[in-house]
Amino acid sequence: MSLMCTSSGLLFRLRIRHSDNTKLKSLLNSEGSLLAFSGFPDKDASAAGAIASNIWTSFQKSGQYSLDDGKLNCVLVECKLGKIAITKVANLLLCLCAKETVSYGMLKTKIEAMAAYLEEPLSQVASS
Amino acid sequence: MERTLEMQLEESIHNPGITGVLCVDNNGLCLGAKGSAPLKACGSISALAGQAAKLANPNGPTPVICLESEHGIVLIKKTDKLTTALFKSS
Amino acid sequence: MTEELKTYLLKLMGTVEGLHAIAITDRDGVVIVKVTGQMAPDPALRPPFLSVFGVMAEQASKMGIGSNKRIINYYSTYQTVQVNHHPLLLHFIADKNANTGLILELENELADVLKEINKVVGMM
Repeated sequence: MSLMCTSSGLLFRLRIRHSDNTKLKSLLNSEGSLLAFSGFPDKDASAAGAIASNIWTSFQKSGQYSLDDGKLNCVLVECKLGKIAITKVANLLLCLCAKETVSYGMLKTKIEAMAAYLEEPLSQVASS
Repeated sequence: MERTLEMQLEESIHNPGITGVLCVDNNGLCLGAKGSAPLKACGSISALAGQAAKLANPNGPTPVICLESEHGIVLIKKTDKLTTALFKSS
Repeated sequence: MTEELKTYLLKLMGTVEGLHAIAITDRDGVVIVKVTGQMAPDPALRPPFLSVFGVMAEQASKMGIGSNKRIINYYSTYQTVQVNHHPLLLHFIADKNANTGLILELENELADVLKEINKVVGMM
């Protein structure tokens, strides 16, 4: 499945392979609005994206003040019906939603791999 | 993405005597499991492998840990970013 | 009871290498009981930090995937594992390389303790 993404007038395409377990992948800008997403068409995607972005920002800020450590690498959220992973790529947020059966380790490894894969193309967008 | 791992796990479980196989990352989080491997053992497996590595020669290969009990055997081996455990019935 | 509880929590904390602190708070991040190691980052055990999870758990419950159970954060030097055990919150603060799997297992060991505290909190 390919992911289309427009930002700052630049159009680029990223090929992302979908597996059965990861339901949704989305890219958010730092304000929490959705830049791109791939997965099942879901009207909740933008709302969930805004919440994910808020979770990230809050923990990043509280880490900065209280842990003296503003560098948040990865957030894993587990809810009753699913798990969500959030990480930063360039100046954007990458958010992965999975079923509750997906293990933490797989989710974390996957988002790390995807972040590394998207880092270069997305930093080009960020700097343009 | 994870298909190769799934296939490898599936393959190893078909060996005679193997009842379960478990893969965990360096944080003790489960990466994959097949068969009757207990999921709550993930943390302990990576902790055990970490402890055993301290006893072994730091320049040599990582040790294989073998736990034997009346009900079966557990074999644990740590590689770079992964710890694998095999559960065998005796 | 508090002393007993603290001793038990300290014992549990010792079983996981790199685990710096365990705290049990109410929904607003007010500490009910906490134990800390020497390496624990002090400000992280105060309400301003601990209360964030309560609010975020509430928000995460609105993402359309059911109520929130846990949030794990990996920072560059620490990791935090926070568990929503309504109406109590459970916080673990550990080194980034600490064994997250073992920390998640501690949650089960604490189930009885949480039940007891719940009773006491419920009486008030």
